[in-house]
Amino acid sequence: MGDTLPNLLHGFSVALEPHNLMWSFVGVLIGNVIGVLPGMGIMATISILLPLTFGMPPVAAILMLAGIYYGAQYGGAICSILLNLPCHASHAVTCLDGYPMTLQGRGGVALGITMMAAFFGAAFGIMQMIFFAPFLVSIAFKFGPAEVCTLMLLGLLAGATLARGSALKGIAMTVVGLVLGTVGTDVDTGTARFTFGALSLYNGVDLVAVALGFFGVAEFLKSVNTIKVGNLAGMMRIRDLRPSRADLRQAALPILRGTVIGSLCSLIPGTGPTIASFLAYAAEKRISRTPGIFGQGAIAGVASPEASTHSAVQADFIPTMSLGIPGDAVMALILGALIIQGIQPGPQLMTEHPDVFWGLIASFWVGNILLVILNVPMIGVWVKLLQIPFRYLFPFALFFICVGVYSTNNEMFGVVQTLVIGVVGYGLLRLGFHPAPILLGFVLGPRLEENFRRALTLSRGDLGVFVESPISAFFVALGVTLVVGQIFFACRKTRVVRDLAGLVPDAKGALEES
Amino acid sequence: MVSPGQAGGYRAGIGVAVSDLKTARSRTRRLLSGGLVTLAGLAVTMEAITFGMGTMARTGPGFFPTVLGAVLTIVGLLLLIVPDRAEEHDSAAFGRPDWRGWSCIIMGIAAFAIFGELFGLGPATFACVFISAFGDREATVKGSLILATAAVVVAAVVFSWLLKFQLPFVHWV
Amino acid sequence: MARILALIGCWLCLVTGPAVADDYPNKFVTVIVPFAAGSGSDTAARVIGQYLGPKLGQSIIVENRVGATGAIASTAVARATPNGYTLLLGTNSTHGSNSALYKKLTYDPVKDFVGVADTGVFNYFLVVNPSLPIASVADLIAYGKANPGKLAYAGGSSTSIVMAETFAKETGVALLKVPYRSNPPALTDVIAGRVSMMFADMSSTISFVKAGSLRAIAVTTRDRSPQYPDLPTISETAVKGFDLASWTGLFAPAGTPAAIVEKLNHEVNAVLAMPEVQQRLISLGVEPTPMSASDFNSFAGKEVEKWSRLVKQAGIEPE
Repeated sequence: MGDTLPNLLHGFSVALEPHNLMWSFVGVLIGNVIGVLPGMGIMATISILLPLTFGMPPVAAILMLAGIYYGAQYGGAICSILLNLPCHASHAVTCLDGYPMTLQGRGGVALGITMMAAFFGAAFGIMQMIFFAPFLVSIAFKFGPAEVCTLMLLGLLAGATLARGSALKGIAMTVVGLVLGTVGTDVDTGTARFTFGALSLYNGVDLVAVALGFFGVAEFLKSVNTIKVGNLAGMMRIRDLRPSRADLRQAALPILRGTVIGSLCSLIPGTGPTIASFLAYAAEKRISRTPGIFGQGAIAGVASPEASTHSAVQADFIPTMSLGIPGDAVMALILGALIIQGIQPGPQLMTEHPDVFWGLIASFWVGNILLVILNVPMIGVWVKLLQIPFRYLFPFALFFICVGVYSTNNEMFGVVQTLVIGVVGYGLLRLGFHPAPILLGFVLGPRLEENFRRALTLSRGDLGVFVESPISAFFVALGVTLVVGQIFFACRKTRVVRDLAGLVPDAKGALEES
Repeated sequence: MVSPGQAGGYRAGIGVAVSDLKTARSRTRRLLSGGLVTLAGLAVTMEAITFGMGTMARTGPGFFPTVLGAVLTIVGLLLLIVPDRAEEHDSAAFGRPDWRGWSCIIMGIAAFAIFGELFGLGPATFACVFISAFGDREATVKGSLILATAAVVVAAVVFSWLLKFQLPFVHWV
Repeated sequence: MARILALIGCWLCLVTGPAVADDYPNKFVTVIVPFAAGSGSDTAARVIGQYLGPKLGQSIIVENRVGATGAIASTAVARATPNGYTLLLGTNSTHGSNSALYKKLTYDPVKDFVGVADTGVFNYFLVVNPSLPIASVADLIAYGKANPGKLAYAGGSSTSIVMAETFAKETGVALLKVPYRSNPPALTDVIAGRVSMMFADMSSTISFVKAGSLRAIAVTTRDRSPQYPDLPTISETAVKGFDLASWTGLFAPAGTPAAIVEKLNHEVNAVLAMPEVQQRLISLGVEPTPMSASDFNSFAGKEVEKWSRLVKQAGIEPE
């Protein structure tokens, strides 16, 4: 640990070389644009730009590709907050409170909070990578199938009532999401489930299609002809562009909690920023003293998942760089770029290629600071976007949605999927179902099932495996407490209603339909 | 534990006629949503059972979806029985059906898929934006034409040229 | 009327005519890769494409069409115009195990394609968790027989599962199958010791082997790997004739003019002979194995037969 500081200084000297600085700047800039632009995925962008890096020196190549990845996260929340358009799945949950804030004329505040959460989360993730990488990696190895399975279950239990509205409907939607997640070829046996013979469904329903269908398309079906010329910006005032002191106070603790959740999630292979953001939101709503305000523009509902996403994005590099095990598809792509450059990622990367490892870390600092400098003044510009009349906005947004889902797999089938999901989603909205828990179930479900079955395979069918290790036993205990607590409170609430009904004869009916 | 929303409910309860109408609508909605969820649950269960349940040591591909189907069915039945207390407030916005808006949006996306497959990104973009723009009641042919042309320019410059989008800008089958 | 028809005919000739080798290629060539960007076969295709482009005087576009273990990409290429502008990066999945994995495959790996060039072989390691008292294949077999039911293998792909099942069948050691969606989580569990062993391609395991968190005990090809000559083969230690590895090669839709196929074959083999390409491919764990188009065609034909048989033997149910 003693030579961390000299190493880091060396890293800065690498990252600040004009050549490297330039490429890292190019990377974050492209990333930022991709992030803002609804319709172009990070994966698609990196794989398009990958061939360009072949001719570059390895350090510059990796700085640029990494820059695209974390740069995109800075822009990713903008459409979620201002247009309810989650073009990047890791920012989908930000829609839940970000968009209501926009409708209240507080879109600028939400963006400001996002930037703050982003920088804090990223900074924490980088610090972690500098000082605790070996320790954290050893924790990661403690997460076997049983631990991951129970963690996912806990996430589902906590998140089933993620959105506004009735708890039962929330549970129903979570289960629908879980079912959607099972579509495709079963990993274990190769059985095709719910594919109805469509080859394109063998790899499952597309996450981007689910997010853009349930939020984007459904939202436009809802708001066409109801939102008029620029009235999204109706109540906007200049001073609302900046978060007030009270806003900051409300955001501080959620940011901290989100950051911690995000950085822990990213250490578990296959649990990237998207899952991290959902878990952070669910946890935040759970522990909040006023869960009722979530979904109505709660600052905590924006701050926590955003911090979580960003810290997960940075911490994602820990297993990737120090172990050579990519946490998600984007990381796999970046590893591929390293391999093409003749650098073998893995445990020895730190010692064999200190330029790459420490240069990358230093470039994270440089890049994140650049991104904040770039984005904070832009908030005002983005908010102006809302003054575009809605009737011009939505056809353009639909076009971006189509392009985006096409680019994830280069298949028109994605567009068709999105359309179907959007129409179904709107129907559900009309019936009072909120689509957010579907996304939660869809994201967590496959992990849950896979690890549940794997844990049982490894234990030869012994269910005890889920309580044997202290980590999974803890998750199980937490889950049980949650469910029991929920039922207890629900019962008490019913009693209160009954008492009230006794006092005011008319109140019961009113409460039931209110 | 009375949220602002519930307080609103008390006020609504004062107007009895409004309350009756709302209760009736709420009942239809309850039957519809509960019924749909129950049906979906049953359908999932029926299909999932055929995948194979496996054993405890090697759970089959049907186990998880079957459990999900069963849970969905139970939740659906509960939705049918339990009155919906926490009805969403913006549900008021769902009053009148807007067939024009809906069909234009749906046709716009469908047009993107069809034109994209047949003629490439440019025509697909034009069709998608042009058709969906008519979803708005105030749309004019001229305005929609300009909007669609602008979108085509964006598609050409940003996606095809800068981002090397993999769907060709124009092509024939 | 006749003149108009003749004109149209002429025009059609002009449009479709240039599909001869002389001015091929006169536009970019698309190579469809059936796996995600960043995966081993994708990276190999991009490296080759990068050098093939200048040789052909046109750029090579690598397009990823992921899904259904390559069936989607293969179907797309099988139906493409056979003019040499759309090629498939085929593998032992698309032209091998898929025939047995699917009850009704939407393409015919033999009839719908013509092999263009072999682009290389991915050699596989048999790795075990280093805390196990297993240093060789003989140790593994002895350990498995002495501790029945204790050995489990992680399967990160259908290829690695077929290898493990074939190994289990030939040696008579009972192995518990633990399937994974991809290599990374599978490797994590082997390193952590939850699963004992795994067949995995060299490039994804070599760094762990070097760091001592995994122990490589054999390679899966018939001959030893030139990079790791100390590692014995499974064939020489336990199962005579064990020779499995995944491979990639370029395919064109059936009906592509022979001249174009020959030209592509010639250029790809020239690229594979370049030292810097060889070095890059080897660092990816790919051993370049150039062969003529006709050799490659008969090789691919045999592979389809071989992998379908192995999949059936491994007891994997077709879908």
